[in-house]
Order: sequence, then C-alpha cells, then structure tokens
Amino acid sequence: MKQFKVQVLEEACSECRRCQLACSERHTGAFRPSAARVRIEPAGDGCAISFTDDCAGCGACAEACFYGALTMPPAEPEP
Amino acid sequence: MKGGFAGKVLLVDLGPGEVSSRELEAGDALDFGGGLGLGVRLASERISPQVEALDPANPVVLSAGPLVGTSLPATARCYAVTRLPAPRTVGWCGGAGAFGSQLKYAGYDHVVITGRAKRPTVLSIRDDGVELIPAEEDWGQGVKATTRRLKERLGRSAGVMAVGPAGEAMVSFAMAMIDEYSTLGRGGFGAVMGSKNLKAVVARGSGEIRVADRRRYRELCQGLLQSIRQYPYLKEWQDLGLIKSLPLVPAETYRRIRKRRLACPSCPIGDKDLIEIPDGDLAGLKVCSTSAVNLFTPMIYGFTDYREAVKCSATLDDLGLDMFEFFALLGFARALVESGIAKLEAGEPEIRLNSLASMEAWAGKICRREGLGEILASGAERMLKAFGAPARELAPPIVKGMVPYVGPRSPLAWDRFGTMELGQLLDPRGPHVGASGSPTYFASRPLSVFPKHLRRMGVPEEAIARIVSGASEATGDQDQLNVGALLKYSHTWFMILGSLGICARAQINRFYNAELCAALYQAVTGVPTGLSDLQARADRAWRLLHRINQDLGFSPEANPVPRPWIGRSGFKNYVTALPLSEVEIKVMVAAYYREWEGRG
Repeated sequence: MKQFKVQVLEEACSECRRCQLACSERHTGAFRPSAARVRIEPAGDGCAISFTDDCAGCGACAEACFYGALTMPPAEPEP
Repeated sequence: MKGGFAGKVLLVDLGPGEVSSRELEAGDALDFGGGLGLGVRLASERISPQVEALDPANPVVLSAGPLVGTSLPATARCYAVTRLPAPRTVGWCGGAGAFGSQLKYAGYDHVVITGRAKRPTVLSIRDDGVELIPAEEDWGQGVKATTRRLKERLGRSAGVMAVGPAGEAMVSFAMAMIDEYSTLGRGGFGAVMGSKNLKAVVARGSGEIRVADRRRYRELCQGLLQSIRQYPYLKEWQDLGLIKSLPLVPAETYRRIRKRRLACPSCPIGDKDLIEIPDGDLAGLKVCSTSAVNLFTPMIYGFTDYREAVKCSATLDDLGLDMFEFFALLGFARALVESGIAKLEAGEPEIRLNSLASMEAWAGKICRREGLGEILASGAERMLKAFGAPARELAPPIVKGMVPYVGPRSPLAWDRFGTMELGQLLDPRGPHVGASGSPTYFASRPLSVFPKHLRRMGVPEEAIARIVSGASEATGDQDQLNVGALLKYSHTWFMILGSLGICARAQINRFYNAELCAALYQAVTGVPTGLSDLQARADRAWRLLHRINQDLGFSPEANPVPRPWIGRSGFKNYVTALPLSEVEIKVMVAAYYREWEGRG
C-alpha cells in the first residue's frame, strides 16, 4: 500500500467525520468511526486531528475530506 | 437484511422506568423502507384518538434510516414521529447532527418512548448500556449548557437531543435541538419531551454499520462524490452556507464573524456555523447555529444591529423556542395591546419586536408562563379563544394552530403558490419551511425546466404530463402547473429521502435522484429494490400518516384557506402571477387527493 504523509489543517475541519468513515471502512470493511485511525478530539472551539500508531498512511481520509482539513501532499517532482 | 440497518428497536417506558429492545422486523422494514417511513408505522401502533400530545401515552418514535451511519454524502437525518401539540395532528419532525448516526452505532434504528418519567430524566443510549439518568440538575438549564455537559460526560462525538426551559414548560411552540445546531420540532415537539419530563436523549455508539454490496456501494458513492466535487458552486456553499441563498447580511460581515464551518456527519457541504461577535457590547459571544441565516432572522422583524439579532436568536435557541412562531405570536400580541383588546399587567415590558431587551424579556415570560406569557405559551388558537371575536381581525394567518412562515402577512416574503405553500394546508404536521425536493421551492422557474427535475424525483412520465400541462379547471387556462399533483409526488420523494436518512436541504438532495436512491438502498441493505419498490414503501407510509390523522378526526375538508391568502394581496398563481382564488386552492387540494387515490 502506498504511504502518504497526510497534511493537516485543523482550522478547516468541520467535524463531518468523513475521514473516520473512510478510514474505518477501508481497514475493517464497516463504518465505525470509533475504530478509525484518524482521531478528532475537541480543542477549544475547534478540534485537534491526530493519527493512531497503526495508521497505514493510505490517504483514504484525505480522499474523503471536502474541507481541506486533510489533504494529500503535492506530488514529488521527477528527479 | 445484510446491511444498513443496526437491527434493533429500543423500547422505553418512562413511567416505570423500563427499558427493553426487540429485533427490527424485516417485514416492517421492507414494507416501509426504514427511517421516517418505519417511524410512522411504529407510531401508528401506539397512537389513539383519546391520547393528546401532552398525555403520557403519546408515543415518541425516533428513527434513523438505513443509509445513516454510512459515508454517503449528507446521510445523518433522524426523525421524530409523535402527536404534536400545536396542530394536534400526528406528524414528523426532522433534524440531523450526530444523533442519528450515533444511535445506529449504538445498535438501534428506532427508539419508541412512552409514558412520563416521575422526575426529570435523561435517556442515555450507549451500545448495550441504556440508562435513565436523573436530570434534576439539568432541569431549568438551557439547551447549550445541557448539551455541553452531556458531551463532556459521554464524549464530543455523542449526539444530544435536548430541550430547554420552553420544552420543560410545555410551550406549544417549543423545539428540541440536536448538538446545539439542528432544530427539531416545528409544532411543539419540545413540549412533548417536556411533558414526559425528558430533558434529553443522548446516543453514543462504538459499533458499526456494514453495507451488503461493498463493490456496488463504492461505485455508486464515487459517482455521487464526483458530481459533488464538480459542482461549480460547491466552494461558494462551503464559504457562505445558507447566506448564499438568503443574504440577510453582506458576505463580508458574515465572513468576519464566522469562526468555523460545521457539518453534520458525512456532509460534504456543511452549512452549520460557529460564529463569534467580534466587537461591540456583545463582543466574544459565540453561537452555534443550524445556519447563520437563522441567527440574523430577527432583522426581518426590525432589528438593525446584527449583533443583537444574533443574541436574540441565540437566546431563543437556548430556551428551545421556535423563533418564527415566537415572533409571530408576539406580533399578534402587540397588535392586540395597541388596539386595547389585550392589556399588559403592571410591570410587563412593552412588546417591541425590534428590541433585544423586550424580546428576551418576553421569551422568559413565555417560558415561565407569566401574565400574558401564559396565553402566548399556549399558542395562536388559545390567543384567539382568550381574546374573542375582535382578535380575529388582527390575527395573522393560522393554519393547524400555527402561523405559516411563508405568504401574506408572514415573515418570509414569498408570494408564489407552489408545493410548500399548498403543503402548509395538507401536510399533517402543519406549516413549515421545507423543499420536499420540489422545483417550486422559493424559486420562480419556467415550466420548461420542470420535467427534468420531476424525473429526478422519480415522477412517472404520465404524471409529469399531468403536472406541467394540466389545465386549471377553475380558469380553463392551459399552461398551468398542477400544484396539487406535484405536491403528492413531492411528498413521496421527501418520504424516500426521509426513510433512507438523506438530508432534506435543497443544496444537498439536488445530487440525489430517485433511481439512485433505489440502487443505494439495494447496495446498502442487500434487498433487491427498484424505483417502484421504493416509491411503494414511501406511499405506504404517507397513506398510513393520512389514515392516522383521519382517525383522529382530521379530514381533507378541515383545511380552511386563510383569508389573507386569497385575493389581490394574497398568494399568486405560480405560473401566471395572478391573484389566487379560493376555488383554485380547493381544486389543488382535490387534485392532491385524486393523485393519492390513483385517479389523477
């Protein structure tokens, strides 16, 4: 599986949890936000986004995000 | 069913404090689809004509459809079906936030609540642990404090459906709020919860929802997401929310005060707001809302400072009051006082619809049922009874015990008579703002665009020909829109969306179509489902809802047309823009019921 280092912009997060839905479905075959490898925790008026140790870097969370809170890094230029 | 459904119905009798559950019966789920449709079915088993809205035996059925909890865009809707105090009919209320999906993850598709708790109570639903928790310390608190305390206790991802002091006092226009930002309960649903001493229902689950056919699901979902990503106005909707469609303040003002965009679970557009007042006497005030448009609504009634409008709305939301009904009844009361028909008691504040101090004072008096507040709390019909015949001339239009949002002498200045407007008479729950997926919703469109829209709604071709070219029996005109027939199909389409759990807002359900809904239902549940199957289930639920209300004594004839709606200053024909006559409306009503009887 290709690994990505997902870029995080917490202030853009709407708490829609599409990332958690995508992650849990990719890795468990079911929608189960509590089992997702991306965490969204309260932080003041906003939220803090983190990844568990078993995050595979598959990028499913970033693919699912419509708000720019999680994005794929830009492609590396060809050497 | 192999997917979509959590599989259980939770049964709660608040009187003895008994909690049990049963398996969701596959037959019922298939006959009524799930979600709102099955909620109607479950309510019908317990409704009886002798039981009024605030009686302990009045059931409350909470429901989340089979798509809720999946990643399909904007599938977070949940519904409450109950007998409502203002219209006295059995109707539905819908909301979103996290409640529906968390209920599903906790293992339940529906919750049936009966009885009255002996003391203030919170119903807590967590996986297999369902508790009735004493809530004396929450009683009297606003929605915000209650919701935050429960989320602190159970986790921010919990879904909290709570009432404020208005619901506790059984104000006839009390609402419940989900997660501080989703309103639930035009018609007084909050009062029903208050009558049961039920301060809140909270759900938090760690379980899962599976889909039956992952490959097909992914295929359909990817297509849907692609169409959303390609929508040219997506960024604009995400940027402005509902300010885009109703710019009550300049966009720059809105952007300055918006702190965060919030979204219901799975929604890719997000139209909820967390705003913060940046300056002035109210600097630092932070408010969550179903949309900033709602927060600015008092400006329609004359507020000139948007900050005070926001504060007023926040107060009403925190108390759990239906804002439009609140302002309508205060407006009526003001007219009664000015004409000498009603008198304020010594010390009662003047009623000024454009004054924050006045409106907050009266909101408090209504929730405490003090003085004139006692009559106001009981709603429009009670006001008419209390002040007699002279009051009728000053009364706003009243439909099913409530004041319509839309139309002549109503707050939203829209005068074309389409499906939402006719629906105010014919929807059992009474007047509310709802697109029901119809193309007439707040837009004057040429009839040439209707067929495409109607096909998306799943309207059969032979019915489309009746809807957009149906002649008006009253006027003999040929190029008319058969609003009555269109409303029937709008109701079917809305019930499909509600049974599945798809958001009812126009900016999101525009991406769905009826054929796609059938395919999604099949992919998620594993039940072979064509469009006609889905429509049959939706129609079955609507017919049951009609029948329940007929058994309560509400008949098609008992829908008087408010006088202000007709004539030169009333509603206008949707197509011709000519003043509407009462005969035309009655023709539409007849067409609606003919369509239901299959005699279109």
